[in-house]
Amino acid sequence: MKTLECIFKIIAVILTILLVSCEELTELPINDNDTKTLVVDGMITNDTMPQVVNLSLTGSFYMENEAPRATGAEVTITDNLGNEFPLYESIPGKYVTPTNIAGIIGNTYTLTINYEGETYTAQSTMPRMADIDSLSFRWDNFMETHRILLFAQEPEGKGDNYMWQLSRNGELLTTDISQMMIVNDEFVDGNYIKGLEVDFWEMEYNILAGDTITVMQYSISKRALDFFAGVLSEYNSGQVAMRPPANVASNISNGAMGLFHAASASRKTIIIE
Amino acid sequence: MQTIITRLSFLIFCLCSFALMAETQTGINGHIKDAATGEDLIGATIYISETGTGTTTNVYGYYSLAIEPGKYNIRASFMGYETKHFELNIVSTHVLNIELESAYKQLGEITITGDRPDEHVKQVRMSSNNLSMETVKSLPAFMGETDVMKSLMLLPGVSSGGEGSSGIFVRGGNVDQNLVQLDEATVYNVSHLMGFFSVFNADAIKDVQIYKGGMPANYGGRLSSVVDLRMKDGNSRKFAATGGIGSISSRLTVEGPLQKNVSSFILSGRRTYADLFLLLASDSLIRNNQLFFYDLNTKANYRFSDKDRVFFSGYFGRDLLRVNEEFKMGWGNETATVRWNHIFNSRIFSNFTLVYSNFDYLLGFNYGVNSFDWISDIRDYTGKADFTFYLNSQNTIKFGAQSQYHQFNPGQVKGKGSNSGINDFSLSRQNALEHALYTSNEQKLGDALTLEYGVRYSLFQSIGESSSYAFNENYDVTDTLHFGKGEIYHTDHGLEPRLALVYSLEGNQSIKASYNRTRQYLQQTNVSTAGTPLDVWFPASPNVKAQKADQWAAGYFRNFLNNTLESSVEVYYKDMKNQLDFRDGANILLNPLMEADLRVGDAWAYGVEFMFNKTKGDFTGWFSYTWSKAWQQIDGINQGEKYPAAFDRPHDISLVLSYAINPRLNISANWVYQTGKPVTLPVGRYEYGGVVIPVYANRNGSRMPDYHRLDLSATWQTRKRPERSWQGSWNFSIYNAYYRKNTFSYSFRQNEANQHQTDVYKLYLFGIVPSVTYNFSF
Repeated sequence: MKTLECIFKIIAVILTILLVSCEELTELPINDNDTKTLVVDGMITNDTMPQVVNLSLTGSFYMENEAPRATGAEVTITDNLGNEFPLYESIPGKYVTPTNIAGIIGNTYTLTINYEGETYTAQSTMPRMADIDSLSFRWDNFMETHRILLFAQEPEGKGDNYMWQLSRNGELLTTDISQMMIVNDEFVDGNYIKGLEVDFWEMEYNILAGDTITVMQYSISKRALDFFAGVLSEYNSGQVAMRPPANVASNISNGAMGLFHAASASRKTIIIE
Repeated sequence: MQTIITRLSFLIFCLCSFALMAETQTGINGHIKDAATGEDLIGATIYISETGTGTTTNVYGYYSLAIEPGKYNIRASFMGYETKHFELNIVSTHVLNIELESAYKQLGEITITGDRPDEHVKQVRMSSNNLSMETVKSLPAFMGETDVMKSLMLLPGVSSGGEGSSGIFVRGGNVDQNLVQLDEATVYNVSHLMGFFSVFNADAIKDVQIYKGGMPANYGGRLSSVVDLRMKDGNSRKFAATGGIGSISSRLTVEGPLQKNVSSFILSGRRTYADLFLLLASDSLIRNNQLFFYDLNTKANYRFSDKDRVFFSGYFGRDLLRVNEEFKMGWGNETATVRWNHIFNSRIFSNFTLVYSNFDYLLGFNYGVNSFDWISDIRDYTGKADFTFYLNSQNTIKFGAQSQYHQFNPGQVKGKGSNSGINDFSLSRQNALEHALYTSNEQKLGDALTLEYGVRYSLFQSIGESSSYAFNENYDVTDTLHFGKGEIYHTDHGLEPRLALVYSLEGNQSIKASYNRTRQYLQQTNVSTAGTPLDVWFPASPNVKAQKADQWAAGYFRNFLNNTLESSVEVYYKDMKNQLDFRDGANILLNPLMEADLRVGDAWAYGVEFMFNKTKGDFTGWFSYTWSKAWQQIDGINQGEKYPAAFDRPHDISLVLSYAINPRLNISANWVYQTGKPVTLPVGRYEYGGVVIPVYANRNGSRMPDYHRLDLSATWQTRKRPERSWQGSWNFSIYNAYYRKNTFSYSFRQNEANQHQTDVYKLYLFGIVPSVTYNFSF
């Protein structure tokens, strides 16, 4: 439940204000380790488009550059029907399908990577889709932005997981996963959702009249939800962590990190007036 | 096993009958009280010069001592009180009720003549400390709030969980392995305001005793320690009030006789007003926030006869945090205790207790479709009977029984308002019975050796109506089990042997040793780095085995300078089984399958503790140094390799000094030093979806910088006017006097200019925190 993370944030903020806590730049008393491990960032959706898998490597905690790219890998996606989609390296570390393809709900996709003599695999089944019914908005006086409200029927039966992205005038607002909202249907199963604020926690968008906002709703696998929850927990760690720091569990074999998953997408657009 | 239990029950039954029929031997017995207030004195000493024997009063101020008929010189003494001498010709059983005068006779004129000459060395009890409320009150306190739990952290073997935390960690035991009892009621959460203050109002407390080892058989249910707090009974002589106005809270205590020398009451309240300052804010969004706590202690007692006395005590405390209309969070403890002291005959003191204890929290979220209330609570009903049988001058036998009914409501969510998209949801409630039988004997063997041996048998039963899950070796659910109302679906039990001995040597020195086994059937999910009240208590179950510990300790005790300087060295080893920790990435909140995220293993701890305590004179205080290690090894965590517990603090120093410059001015200081807390820090990083994610190696593989801090305080008593009873004093204190920026936690953020660079920030909670408190009494 995303709200729980928020509660902890609120508590942390209040304690910080009240108890004059302070923060300062420091260095960690750690032994850095420069092991290079493969990191996978890949998703296949039911949108017809070139599907992308990014490969990079882990690095020193104190490095000041972009993560090193994993180049020269052999990357293939296959489905449970025997279809095979080889990917090519368009720019260093970015592997894409040569043609537009669309994943199919219910199919299981297997990613196979051959990199520097090692083979890594991951599997994901594309979950069922839930449609966005409609969108609306309200003005938030305090944050001076419009809030986007989502209306949708959550399908009957527990086990659906969602992730939302926002774009304004065709440009992605939720540029990294720390800004995306993720939630499972544990507490809302089968309900009609009457105005969920999909930009609930990130408040810096400044959505104004005239903006065209598109909400992309991804139905994601449980594995992906756990991964994102783990990432968010790490990302927010520090002040009031809800769990001890730990490596985010990946679904890639052979010790690689990251996530490959299949997700079904549904979209709606609204013009703020 | 069954036969042992049957024998134990039989033994206790025999003891009862034997005790009740015992021929009354000659001897003395009675109560020892404070002459001015009528408060019972706990641990006061009665000593017979001719025989060299003595005893101390129990928690109700009662003592009983068997002696042959004859003429004796009897001495009664207590720390901070004038010693009294009696000459008695004892022919039968003699009731000798004693009142001792406080040595603080007139304002500030400290003429301490009372003493407890060599209790420290002679008593069989080891690994145990008693803190007088005078001491607790004289210590520099954070924001001027006298804090019992924080004072305990200054003792050897007791460490804090971190800045601004009320939980204690005793000899490598976790925070939930301490039994904290207020008038025999379990207090499940000792934190106010996320742990910055503890729930105990020092004005209402009479006595604090901590047992870190050599646990007496009458205590059980937790592995590592018992903190036994006793509330004041209330002044039975005259009406009196004490109070204080502080930087963060105000306190007021009123007490007095309901019927002089027969019944008395005390009522003590405290409330913080930090949030009242928020009202001054012009911004309504700030003004509408609330953050406060209050607590109320109340107690009354009635003496029916010399043999019967009844006590009623209650505690009620609550924290509330509210952010506008959107978010609220509240939590608190409630306890109620009824006790009946009955003296069957001069040899048999008994006490019967009924206790109710409750801890609950509530979270309310009011945000459109995300509107819900979330509640959780734990509730106990307890019945106890405890007997002390003063058999003769060599043997003091204790025995008793207790039964507890626990109710757990681990979490319940209710959607709120018509717009809420949240379904009602609740985790399965659980109920359990916890019983115990115990007996022990403190036996003097000659002049030098005293033994205390005992055994406790505890039994835990999970009872329906409830449900539980069966898991396979991969922690996947294989079955959901439902249990009908009243059905006992899980039983766990065992014997807990307890043993302690003291061997006195010439020249005010002694050697002590102890062994104890303890068993624990309830535990808490302590995971968050801050002490939030959301840590839920959960019971042993088909999936969670009872925790078990064996502790061995030995020590050397010696008093110097005519018993004004007490010193001790103790070593211990503690072996703990069925210890729990959560797997990486565990989901703890509102997770019906939480048990599947638990991993079980072993923990062990060892250490050596040094203590020097100067108890008398203008200059008092103590120095304690502890060296210790606390390890855990749990399959499925840290690749199954041993790792230091999160509260492993090898070096721990406390220095407490107090100096009476003149009768009206007292200054004190304390300095603490602890090895930095173990912490899991990243050894590398990677990027995913636009964010940088740390890579970790070993659990608790690094340490934060060492923690140290100096606090100062001065107490100045205003001049008392003879015609008025009003007495005031000012307390000035400084927390963290040399501005040590102790690391509370680390956080990582991307550098604004270079998104690929990770900056590390350390959070420290306090700079220098000065505070002023005005205390009064009349």
